[in-house]
Amino acid sequence: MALTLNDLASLLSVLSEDSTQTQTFEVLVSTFHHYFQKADHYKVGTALVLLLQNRDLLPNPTQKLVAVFLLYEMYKNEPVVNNPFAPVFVHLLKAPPENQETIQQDLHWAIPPISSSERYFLCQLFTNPVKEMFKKTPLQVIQMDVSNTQNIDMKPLELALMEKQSEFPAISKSSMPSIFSDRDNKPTSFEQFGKPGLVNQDVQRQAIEALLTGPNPPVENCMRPEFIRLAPPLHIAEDELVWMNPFEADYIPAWDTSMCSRSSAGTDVRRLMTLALKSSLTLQQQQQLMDGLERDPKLVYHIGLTPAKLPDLVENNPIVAIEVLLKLMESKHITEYFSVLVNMEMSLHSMEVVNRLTTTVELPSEFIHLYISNCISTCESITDRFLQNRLVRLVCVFLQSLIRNKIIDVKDIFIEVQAFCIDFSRIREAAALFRLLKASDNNGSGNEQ
Amino acid sequence: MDPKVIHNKGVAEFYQSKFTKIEEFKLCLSTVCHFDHLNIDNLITVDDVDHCVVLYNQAVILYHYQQYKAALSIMEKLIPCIEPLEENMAKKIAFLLVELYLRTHQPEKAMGRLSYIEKMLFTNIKSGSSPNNSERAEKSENQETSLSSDGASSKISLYKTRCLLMMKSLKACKREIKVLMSTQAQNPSVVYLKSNFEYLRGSYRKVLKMLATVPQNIVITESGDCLPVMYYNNLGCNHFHTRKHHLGAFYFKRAVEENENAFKSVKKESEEGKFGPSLQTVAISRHYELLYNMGVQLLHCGKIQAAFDCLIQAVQVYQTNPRLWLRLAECCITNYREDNEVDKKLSRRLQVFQGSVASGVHRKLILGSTTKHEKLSNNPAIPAPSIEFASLCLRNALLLLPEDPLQSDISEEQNDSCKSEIFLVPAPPSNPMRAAEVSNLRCSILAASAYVSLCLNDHLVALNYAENLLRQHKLSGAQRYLAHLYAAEAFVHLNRTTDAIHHLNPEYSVDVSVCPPEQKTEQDKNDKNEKMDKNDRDPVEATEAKGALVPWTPATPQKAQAVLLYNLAATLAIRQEYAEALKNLGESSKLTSQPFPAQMYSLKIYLDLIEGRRAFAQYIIKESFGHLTPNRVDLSLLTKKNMPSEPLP
Repeated sequence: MALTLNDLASLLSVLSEDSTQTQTFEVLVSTFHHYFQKADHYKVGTALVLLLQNRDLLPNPTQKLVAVFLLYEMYKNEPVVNNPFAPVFVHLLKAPPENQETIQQDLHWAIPPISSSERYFLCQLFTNPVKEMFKKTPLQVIQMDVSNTQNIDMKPLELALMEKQSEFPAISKSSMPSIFSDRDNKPTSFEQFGKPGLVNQDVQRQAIEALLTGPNPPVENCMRPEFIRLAPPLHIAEDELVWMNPFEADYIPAWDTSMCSRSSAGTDVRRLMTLALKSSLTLQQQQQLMDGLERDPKLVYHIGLTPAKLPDLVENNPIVAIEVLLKLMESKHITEYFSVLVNMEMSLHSMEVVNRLTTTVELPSEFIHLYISNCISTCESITDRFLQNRLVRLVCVFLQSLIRNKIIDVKDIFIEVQAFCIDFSRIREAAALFRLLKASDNNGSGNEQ
Repeated sequence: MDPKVIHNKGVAEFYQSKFTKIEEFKLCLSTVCHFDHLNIDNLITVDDVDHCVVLYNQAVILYHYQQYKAALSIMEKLIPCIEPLEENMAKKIAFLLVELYLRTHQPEKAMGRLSYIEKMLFTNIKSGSSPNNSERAEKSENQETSLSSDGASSKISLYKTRCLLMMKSLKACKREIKVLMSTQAQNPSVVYLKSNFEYLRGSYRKVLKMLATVPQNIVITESGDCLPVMYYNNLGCNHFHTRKHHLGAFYFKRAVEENENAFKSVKKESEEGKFGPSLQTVAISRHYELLYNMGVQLLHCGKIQAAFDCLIQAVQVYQTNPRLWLRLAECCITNYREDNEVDKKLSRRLQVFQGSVASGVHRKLILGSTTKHEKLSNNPAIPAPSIEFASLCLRNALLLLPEDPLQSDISEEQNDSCKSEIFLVPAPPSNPMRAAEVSNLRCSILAASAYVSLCLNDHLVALNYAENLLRQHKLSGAQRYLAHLYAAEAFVHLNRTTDAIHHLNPEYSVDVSVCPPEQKTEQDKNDKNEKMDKNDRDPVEATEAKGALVPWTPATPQKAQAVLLYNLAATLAIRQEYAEALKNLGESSKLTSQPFPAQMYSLKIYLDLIEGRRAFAQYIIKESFGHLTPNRVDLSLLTKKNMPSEPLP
C-alpha cells in the first residue's frame, strides 16, 4: 500500500518550495484535499513523517511547517490523542533542551527542532484554532515575532499519549525506522565541485521515490531485535528403515482332501445325525451311525453336533449321545457339552446318559455334584404329584447306583441327600437310599477309626 | 455338483497353469463360496469345518496380493476350526496365521500361534513315540526322535526368530539363531536373519561380511522374493547407520532399480507365456518400502526435494505411520532452514541491510530483516515442502500417536498394568515402535511443532507445544534447550517478557546432546553384559552406533549458550534494557566464532542506533558491510569520548 508515483507528485507539489512560500494555509489545504481522500491519509502521513525525519529531503523551513500542519489537518476532526501522528507533535513541542551536552545522542529518526514562532503556531492549532491563522502563508508564520507570547503546556497531551502507548506490546514498541542517512560528501556532478552538501534536486527526487514508492518500499519497513530460532535436530529413530529378509514360504492353495472319499460316508453320517436330533433312530440306523463314527475318529467334529444341539440328541437317542460324547472326550470343547448336559431338563434319558458316562469315564466331580443338585431341585419344585413320585424314584435309584459304584464320595453330598430322603420319606426308594446312606457313612467313619 | 469337486478342480487347474490363472481360480473360489453361502467380506463365524479349505485358499490369494488385513480377518475366523481339521491342513492354517500376524506387525500374536503349533506337533509326536519330557527349547532331542518334525521345527525356529527380531528381544533371538546356524548355515533365509540380528545389535561390519556370503545366482526365489533388491536395500540400511549417507542413497537407488528390473522381467515372462504373473510374483514389487527407506536416507543427505518426493508417495500407502509424517515435516523444516549454521552465511549476513538509496547528501542506508518472511502459499494442503505443509504433517503425526500419557487421566496403577504388557505401536512399513521410541518420537514431534508454529507466527500454539515438551520425561538435552528457547520467543511475542527471561537462563544450555536419554530395560542390560563377556563386539562400532546420524549445531554447550545469550540480549533490547542487552550480546559474541550470525550484527547496529550512537554503528557498518558506505569512522576518536559501548570484536 505504497503511494503511487502520481500521488507522490501531487504531494510534492503541495510541499514545493514555491507553493509553501507564496500560498496561504487555506489554499494549501484545499489543494491537498483535492488530491487525497480520507482513505489515503495514513499513508500520506507516514510519507510526511519520513520526509520530516530526513532534513535533506525537506530542506526548507516552510516545507517542514506545511508537512507538520498537514499531519494536524488530516485528523483535525478527532481529539489530538487519537491522531496516529500525535507523537510528532509531542516531540516538536517539547521544551528545547537547555543543556547542549544532552544532544550528544544522534537519533537518526529524530525530527529536527523547530523555531519558537513555529512552536507558537502549533500550540495555537491545538488550543485555539482561529480562521485568521489559516489566512497567513507559512513564510509569514515563520517570520512572526513571538518573543512576548508564553509557552503553552503540552503535558496533558504527552501524558495521554504515554498512557495509550503503555498498552502496546513491548515488541511493537521496540521497532525503529530502518532508513538512516549516510551522506557521501563526494560530489555527484561537475556543478557540485567545491560545494559539498549542495542539494541536488534530481537526486533528491530519486531518493524520495526510492523510499516511498514501489512494491514493499522502505518506508513501510522497520527494524526490531530478532531472535535466532534454531531448527530442531532430525529425529533419531530406533529401527526405522525397512530391513528385508527372504523367506521360503509355501503359501499355496490347498487341495480339499475331504472331497468324495470321506464326504460320502460323512454325508450319510451327517444325515443320520440330523435325523437323530429329531426322532429316535431304528437299531439299524443307530448301528450305521456308530460304524461311520468308528471308521473316522475325526468325523465326529464334522457332523454338526454343537453343544446347543446335545439335549435334543439325548432325549431322542440316548445311546447315540453316549457314544458321541465318549468320542468327543478328547476335544477342548467337552466341558461345554458337559455343562449343557448337567443343566438340561432332568429326564430318564439324561439320567441314563450321565449314569453311563460316570461308569465309563471319569467325570469331573463338580459336574456330578451339579447334576445331583439339579435333580434334587427339580424334584422339589415339581407340582404334579404323580410325576414327582416317578422322578424321585429315579433319582434315588441313580444315587444308589452312584454310591454303590463309589463314583461319588458320600460325605460330599451327605447333608443334601439326607434332607432329600427325609422330605420324600413316603417313597420306598427314598427310605432305601437313606438306609444305604447311613450304612456307608457308618462304614466310612468306622474305617477311619 | 458337489462344491468340493468344483473347488478341487479349480485347484488342480490352477496348479497346472503354474499359478498363473489367478483370475480363473478366484472365480472358482467365489463360486464355491456362493454354493456354501459364504460371504467372505462379511464372515461372522465359521461353524462348518468343511469350509476351511476354501476360506484358506481365499486368504492365500489375499496374502499374495498383500491384502494382509483382509486375509487375517478370514483366517482369524478359522482358529476355532483348526482342532478338528486333519493335521496337515491345521498346520497350513496355523503357519499362514503366523505369517499374517508378522506381516501386520503383531509379533506377540504370532508368538502365541507358534507355541500353539509346537504343542500341536509335539504332543502328537509324544503320543506316537515314547513319552518324552522334552521342552521346546531342546529341539535337538525332538529332531532325533522324529525326522518328520525336523522340517517343521526349523521352520518354527525361523518364524520365531522373525518374531523376536520384530520384538527386539535380542537375547532370545541369539539362541534361536545359534540353533539355526548350526543346522543350515547355507540357507539364505538364515543368513539374512542373522545379519538382521547383527544389524539390530549395531555390528555393522559383521553385517557387511555376512551379506556378502549369500550367493547372488538366484534372482527371484520360489516364494517370490527378489534377492538383489533385498541385498542392496539392506546394504543401504547398514550404511545409513554408519553415517555414509550418500553411499546409502546409492545402494537404495540400486535396490529401486533392481526392483524395477525384477518387476519388468516378471511382466515380460508373463507376456510371453500369455498368462498373468504367477501368484508368488504378482506382488513382487517392494516399491513403497524402498521409497520410504530412500526418502529417509535422502533427508539425511540433505537432498530435500528428492526426499520429499519419495516420502510423499510413501505416505499415500502408509498413512497411519506417525514417524513418516514427522519425516515429511522434517523435510519441510530443512527446506525452510537448511541448518543452524545458515545464519552465518554471507548471503544471510547481507540481509542485515536492504541496501542503499540515492547518492551524495541524499544517500540513505536501509536496514533489512534477517528473519525469513516466506510468502504463504495459496493452499497449504497441496503437498510441497513448505512450512505450512509441515504444520499439517505434524498435526497428523501427533494424532496418530497413542494418547499422551501425560495428558490423559490414567491413574498410576493402570499405567503400571499397561507397562507390564508389551507395548507396541504400529509404524508400517517399519517394525512396530516400542514404548521408548514412541516417547522419543513424541518429543521430536513436539519440538518440530513448536518450531513450525513460531515460523507461522502462531505464538500461543508454539508456547503450548514448548511447555508440553518440557513436561515430557524422556526428552533429550537438545530438546529441553530448544523448548526453553521456543517458549522464550513465544512469550516475548505474547508480551510476557519477564516469563521469557526465565526461560533464557544460561544453565539451560549445559546439555545439548541430541540422543534420547538412555533407558535400558533389564533385558538389554543382561544382553550387554553377555556381550562384554564374550568380547565379540567391536568397541569402535559400539561408539559408532550412538549419536546423531547427521551433525546438529550448536553441538557444544558453549555454542548453545552463545545462542541463548543472544536471544536474552534481544529480549532485553525489546524490554528497552539496552545496557544489559549490550552486555549479553558482548558475552554471546565472545562464545561465537567469526563470522557472527547475521542477527548479531543486526542487534548490535540496532542497539547503537536506538541509543543514538550513530558513529559506533557507522564503525560496525564500515568494518563488516564496507561495500555499503564510503564513510570511515576513526575508532580512536570514538573511544576518547568514552561512550558506553563495546563494539563487536
